[in-house]
Amino acid sequence: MAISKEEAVLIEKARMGSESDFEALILSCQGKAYSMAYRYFNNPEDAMDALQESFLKIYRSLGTFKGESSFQTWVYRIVANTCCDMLRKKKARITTESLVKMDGEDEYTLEIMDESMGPEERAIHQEMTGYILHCLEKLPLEQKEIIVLRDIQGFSYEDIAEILNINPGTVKSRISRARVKLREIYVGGGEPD
Amino acid sequence: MECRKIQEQLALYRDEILDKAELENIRTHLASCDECQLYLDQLNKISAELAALPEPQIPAEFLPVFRHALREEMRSDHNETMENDKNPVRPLFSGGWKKWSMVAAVFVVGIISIYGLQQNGDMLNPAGFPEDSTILSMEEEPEKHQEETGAPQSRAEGMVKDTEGVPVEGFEEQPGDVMAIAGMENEPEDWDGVKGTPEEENYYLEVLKRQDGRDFTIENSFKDEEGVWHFLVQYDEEALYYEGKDGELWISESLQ
Repeated sequence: MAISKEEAVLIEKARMGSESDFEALILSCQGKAYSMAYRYFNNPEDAMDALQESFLKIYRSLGTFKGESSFQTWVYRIVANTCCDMLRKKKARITTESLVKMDGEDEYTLEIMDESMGPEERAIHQEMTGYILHCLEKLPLEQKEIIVLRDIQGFSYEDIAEILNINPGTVKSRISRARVKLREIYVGGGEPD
Repeated sequence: MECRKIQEQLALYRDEILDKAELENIRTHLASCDECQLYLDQLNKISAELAALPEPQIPAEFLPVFRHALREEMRSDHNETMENDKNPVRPLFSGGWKKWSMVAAVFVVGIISIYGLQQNGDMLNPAGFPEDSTILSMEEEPEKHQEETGAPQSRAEGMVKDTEGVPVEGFEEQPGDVMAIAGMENEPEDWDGVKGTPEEENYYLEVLKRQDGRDFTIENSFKDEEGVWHFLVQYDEEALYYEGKDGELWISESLQ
């Protein structure tokens, strides 16, 4: 079994309606779950909507969790599915909603600022992060998703296979194609061929 | 041609998942191919930038909003469970042999009674009821009947009455009357003296009331796929988890 006894007790108590136990369960992974959701949408409002919807789905499906994967992996799977569903429903690829053009220049800044940087460093950093995110947005959803999970969130191949419910061979081939495509966009000035 | 194949593998190079032969092949190629070396450098740069992206922090307003949504969800779950149990669908042949043998016995008594009356009655009044009598209808509500005829509310107070509401002698309610059976479908079947059946939530709440004299509220309840009822019971000074199945109720030791 992939979960500890303590986790199993928390899950059972949460199923019985204990709000505090359910909160304890999700608090253990809410940071990473939010970070994941944020990368799908690149804005905090949609990320929070997706996270809330995911957590409610988790609450409703607690009875179906069999413990074959870790609880966190199960949570991330639901988050990934919810984000993809929401993105498809929006029927639009988010490209510039969270990106703001600087005055008179065709450059992009990032909403998230690193407070420890000086102005010059920040400008360079913003330029770099804005550009890489712009390129990421140009990928098809399936490829963007795998880059987010592997290269940004740092999940292992095995975890990604469980989260996306695909076999490890498929993870490998998707990562390869996604990175090749991203590189092509990156060196091509931010536009796909 | 070889560069293209190598470049596909380069995308996975830094994950250390390629086998020894593939790695050796790549190293040998890179030693003599500037284009593929540049390709690898670009891939590494992109990966480094992605890994260096600052981690978004969850906004402080998320948790209170989510708590509210969760409580609404829990509340609607509880209301749905209670609503479903108010009007249980009772299969016609539930209850086993007990109920149906009683019905059969009463039916036989009823037939014998009617046959006996017929010996003293006529064709228009085969049961032999007095002409000015009112038979208390099995379908009528007792209260409605009393309003209209002045007859008493209780079904037990006389089966046949005259027009002045006086029970007709000889036609008082007898044990096992069909009249008594007519109300049976409105009464919950008893199981060891407790109302309801062990498949129903109310049955266990009744057991809990009887065995534990304290006041309590049910914070949540549900029935799992194995037919076990689960209850989170809140008393003044503590909360306990109960489980119930097949008529038995017990404290869930694993969750205290």
